[in-house]
Amino acid sequence: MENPTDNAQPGMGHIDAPKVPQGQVPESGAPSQPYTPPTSSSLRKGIYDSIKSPGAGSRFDLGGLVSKIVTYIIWIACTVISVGLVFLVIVPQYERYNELTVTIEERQIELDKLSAFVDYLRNLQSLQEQLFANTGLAKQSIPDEDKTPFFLDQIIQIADESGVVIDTISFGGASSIEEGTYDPVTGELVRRVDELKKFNVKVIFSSSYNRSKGFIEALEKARRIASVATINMRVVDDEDKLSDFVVREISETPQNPDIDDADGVTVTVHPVAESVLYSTEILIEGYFMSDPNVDNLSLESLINQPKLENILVVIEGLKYYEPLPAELTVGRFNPFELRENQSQETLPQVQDEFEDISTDDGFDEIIDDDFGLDQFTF
Amino acid sequence: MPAIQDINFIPDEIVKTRRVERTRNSGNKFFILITVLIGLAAGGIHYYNNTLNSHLIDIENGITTNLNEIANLQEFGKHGYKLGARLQNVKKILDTRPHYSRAYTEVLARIPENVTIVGWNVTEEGLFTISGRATPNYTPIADFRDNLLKTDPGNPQFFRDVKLISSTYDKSNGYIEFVLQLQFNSETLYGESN
Repeated sequence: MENPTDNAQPGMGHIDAPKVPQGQVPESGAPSQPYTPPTSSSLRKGIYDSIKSPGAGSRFDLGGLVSKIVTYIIWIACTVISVGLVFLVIVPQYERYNELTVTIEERQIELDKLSAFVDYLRNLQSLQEQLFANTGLAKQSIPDEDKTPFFLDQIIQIADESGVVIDTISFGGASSIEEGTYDPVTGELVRRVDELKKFNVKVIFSSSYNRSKGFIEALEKARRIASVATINMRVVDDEDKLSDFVVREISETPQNPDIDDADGVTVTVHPVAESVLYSTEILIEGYFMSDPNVDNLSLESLINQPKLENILVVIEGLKYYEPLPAELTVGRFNPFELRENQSQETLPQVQDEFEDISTDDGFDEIIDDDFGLDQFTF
Repeated sequence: MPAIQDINFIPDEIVKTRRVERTRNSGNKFFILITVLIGLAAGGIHYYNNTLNSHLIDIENGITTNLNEIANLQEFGKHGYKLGARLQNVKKILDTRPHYSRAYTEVLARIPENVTIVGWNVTEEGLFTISGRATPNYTPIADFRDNLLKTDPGNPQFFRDVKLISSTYDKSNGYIEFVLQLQFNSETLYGESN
């Protein structure tokens, strides 16, 4: 290894420099900087320069100044650029990032929700025939307001089918079912959009115990929903009715009250079941509703309804009674019109005709034949 | 020769100058590096935000498309809502209406031989009274009451709180007229599945 002092000329260097062991840092140097021995050429040049121009260290060094200024310009420029980037780009972009993240999250939720709505609506569209069919089915259970007479018609058909004799049917008019919540401020009832209305029909009929049961059971299994609210059943003491009952009911009852059920097990039928005549008064509740107003409903409430497919299955399993075609000509005779338009000569003739159909052979017979009713009042 | 072996001929100024130059160079590198890093960060976040913005635009377009489609298909939604409203009412009625035909079946299956039902009454509140006639003594009435309280294996009890509230013995015909008051078990009286 070449020693840097090997080529030095004696007496020409800084002989007063402290002796520093080879490889160690001189005292005046930075303690952290390891000592690097100068190369022979640079050392020679430095020594030569100091001999040639002994006052060079005190002269103005333009190159060094420029180098210094450039350095500081670089530092300042870098600082300015960095600060500029931080405050003009990074900070606003970071805020925008936060804002965008939240917005994207919210809008994505909205999009997912709308996509679900669209899927639901597309599904409805693809099943539109089924939708309309199901609506028809549901309307058979709770029809519109104008279908109320068919409810009465259904009762008559069921009575006929069950073998009970209806004495009277009276329709008490419709009433609303108060549904909704009370406004905490005003205290007013805030009605639900779908308003269900009900009406009461009082039916008095005569029959045996079993047939009464059959009638009520058929009402419960009818597609047009009826709900029996009260039952008041009494044994009939009326001799005329009893004699009629004995003729019609007992003759249809098997002599042997022990009958075999479907499993082949002998079931003893209590005499009460068939041989006693009861007069039963029941209060039946019928229901109807008009289509709810959906114009002001939000999309969420329009779509987020509980799924009730199972109810459709139940409705489908219930028996539907087709409305009977009208057999009576309503307003066939109008006595008021007759009085106004008919002359006095023709009036007695019409009156006779009216009396004819009002007798047991006339009007009542028509009613009995068509409905099996003794009295029918609205 | 050994006398000048440990003499350091490097001028102090040179050492100092080199140290300053090194410091300056390091400073330059440091500042440039920091600036480049900050520049990269700024560019990165700007690019990422642009990507997010594009994603947001896609979402907004999707929302607009869906809203248009909903507007076109809303009629089906209205039909569906009307059907749903009707079905909800059907469900409510079916869940809450009593099935008194079941009571007919249950009572008939529990009447003892010497008891005849004279009448019964079910009020709107669900209070059930049975009027009957028994012969020749009170035993059939007690049997009837016990039968009404009996539970078939595997089936829930149909009646509860069966009370004899009145009884009258008529010597002329030997009948005992009685009235039982009982309550339905709502579990068995309501619902379509029972």
